[in-house]
Amino acid sequence: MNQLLEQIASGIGTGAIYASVALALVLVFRSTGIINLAQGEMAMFSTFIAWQLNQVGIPIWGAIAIAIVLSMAGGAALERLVIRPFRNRDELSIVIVTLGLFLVFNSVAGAIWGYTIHSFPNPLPGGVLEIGSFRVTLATVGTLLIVLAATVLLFVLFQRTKIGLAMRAAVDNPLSSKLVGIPTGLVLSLGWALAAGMGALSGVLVAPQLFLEPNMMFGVLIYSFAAATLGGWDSPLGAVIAGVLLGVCQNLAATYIPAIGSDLTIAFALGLILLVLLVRPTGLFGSKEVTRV
Amino acid sequence: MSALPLRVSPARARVLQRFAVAAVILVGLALPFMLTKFTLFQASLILALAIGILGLNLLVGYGGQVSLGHGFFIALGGYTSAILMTTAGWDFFPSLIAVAVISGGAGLLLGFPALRLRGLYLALATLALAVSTVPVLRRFEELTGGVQGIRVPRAAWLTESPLGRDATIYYIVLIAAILAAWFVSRVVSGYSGLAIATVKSNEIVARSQGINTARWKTVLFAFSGMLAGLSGAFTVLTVGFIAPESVGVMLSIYLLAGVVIGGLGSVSGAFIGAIVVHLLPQLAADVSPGLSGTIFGAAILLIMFLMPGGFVELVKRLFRRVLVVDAGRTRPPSTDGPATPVETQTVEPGTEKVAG
Repeated sequence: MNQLLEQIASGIGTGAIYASVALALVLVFRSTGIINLAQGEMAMFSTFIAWQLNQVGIPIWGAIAIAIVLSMAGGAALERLVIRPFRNRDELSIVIVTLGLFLVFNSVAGAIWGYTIHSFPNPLPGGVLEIGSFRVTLATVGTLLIVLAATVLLFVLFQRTKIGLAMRAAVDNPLSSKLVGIPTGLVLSLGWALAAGMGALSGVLVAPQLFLEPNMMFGVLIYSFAAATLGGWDSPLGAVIAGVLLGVCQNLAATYIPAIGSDLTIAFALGLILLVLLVRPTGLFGSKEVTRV
Repeated sequence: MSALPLRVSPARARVLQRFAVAAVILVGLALPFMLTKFTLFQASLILALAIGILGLNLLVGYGGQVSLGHGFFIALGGYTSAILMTTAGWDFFPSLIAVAVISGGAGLLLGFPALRLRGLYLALATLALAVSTVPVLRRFEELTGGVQGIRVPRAAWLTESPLGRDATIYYIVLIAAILAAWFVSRVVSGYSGLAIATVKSNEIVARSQGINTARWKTVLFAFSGMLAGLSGAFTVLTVGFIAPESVGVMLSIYLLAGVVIGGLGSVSGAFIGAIVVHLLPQLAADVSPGLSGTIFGAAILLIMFLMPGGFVELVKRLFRRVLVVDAGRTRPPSTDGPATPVETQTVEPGTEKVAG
């Protein structure tokens, strides 16, 4: 029983990371209507920046804070300079543009920092929390709390502030938003900035477990894509819940179904999601698309 | 320069188009006499890849259904062919029938759940296939050779061919690619082309016109899977080897890149896309091995920026400077005002009819 609980707890820790990248994907999707294939690579790049800052002597939390701010600026710049010129193209073209970004980030990181793995200092305390006989690492608890806090902040931003209202309006009806004076361009940049910041956060949280190298985020990106889909692409809360669920499922499957093993867990997790999607084609929390004929 | 652009009637344009296609095929046939063995090998690989991109384009460009998982079908076709030729001792050509049936069947099976899924949700479903491919191949080691892959010994007829091994392979793949291109252009013209175009643009309208949308979508998935599977089989014929690392997730994404770079919904675009996604990474690595990804990525960005609609749009735009197709029946060739150019593509008049 205890083993089960512990597996669930560590699954929640992994899931929280999927949730944070999924949140970044959903932010971009909600502001630009595309999936950003480069989201994971952007997060990796931000993590390298944090690592480099830490290497030159800046304390780890300071380095992370600077990296997040730089990433947000970078995200906004990327939207303005690379994505904006493609605004009126079909979505598939923009997805291929993000593939180009994916390759560029991956290769530039490899050229600067090399493909050997670096260990990333864990910003969270290393101890173990014991409640009775139930044990969970502080890192897991910390990861979950940080991701939840970020989610709540985003929720408040989107639902309770004028900026959030403007962001929702700009996606829902760009033309009318422009007519009522919303700077839709700025709003889009803000969406990318938030997503890049969120990605940076997930990168530094996952790096201590995965080791830092240019390809570290690819697997995470696929899980996060799955989480965003399971949650429903228009629901940030759904993405978080689905991310955590996915982490738990993955952990339990790897532990209790030996036939699956570590290799096939990803296939198993995706298969589960497909089953859910077949019953609910718009994800767990997504709203149904209504088309006018 | 005042003679340009030339104005021709649609009938004349069709004849010219046939001539152009024939000229390209003739160049294709002559290539083995002009290229070195290695370049010929590259050409065979590009043609094999083009068959897969054609298949994906049928689904994505013409059908409007996204797939991030066509690498799975390439793996399925390649491995089916390789296993049949080694373990079961089949010859290459009969194995093609098995490949077509199995990968087409798999496409059909994928088509059923795909009926319920749309856009990103379908993208995930297909991505799941692509992600599962490599672990599954590693798991069933007895059948697939695990990480080592399968080496396919060359058949006697191939090594003893009077044309030479590489030229023979090239001609086989070339003929297959021509047949695939012909097949796709047949599917997307006439009644089936109309039905597919209507399903893509508006399913509700399609249904109100008595088009069985579910049937057309599953048929598209089946054809698309079949072509991608065959692409895998021809790749195995060319390389003589298949391993899990060559059919990873990135293959599926590159296939999609090939479709978009070449031109969505274009047969000739599939060939251009295949050339680009096959050669560009190599060229980038030649320029700078350390930054090859950066160069490749930047080139993708540049191509997408400069050529909305892919390479095919660019070619079409250049052609329009020289040649304008005039719908001669409706208005006489005007001497002063420019007449509306009419596309030579066969689907176009059909879609107009539906809209009107």
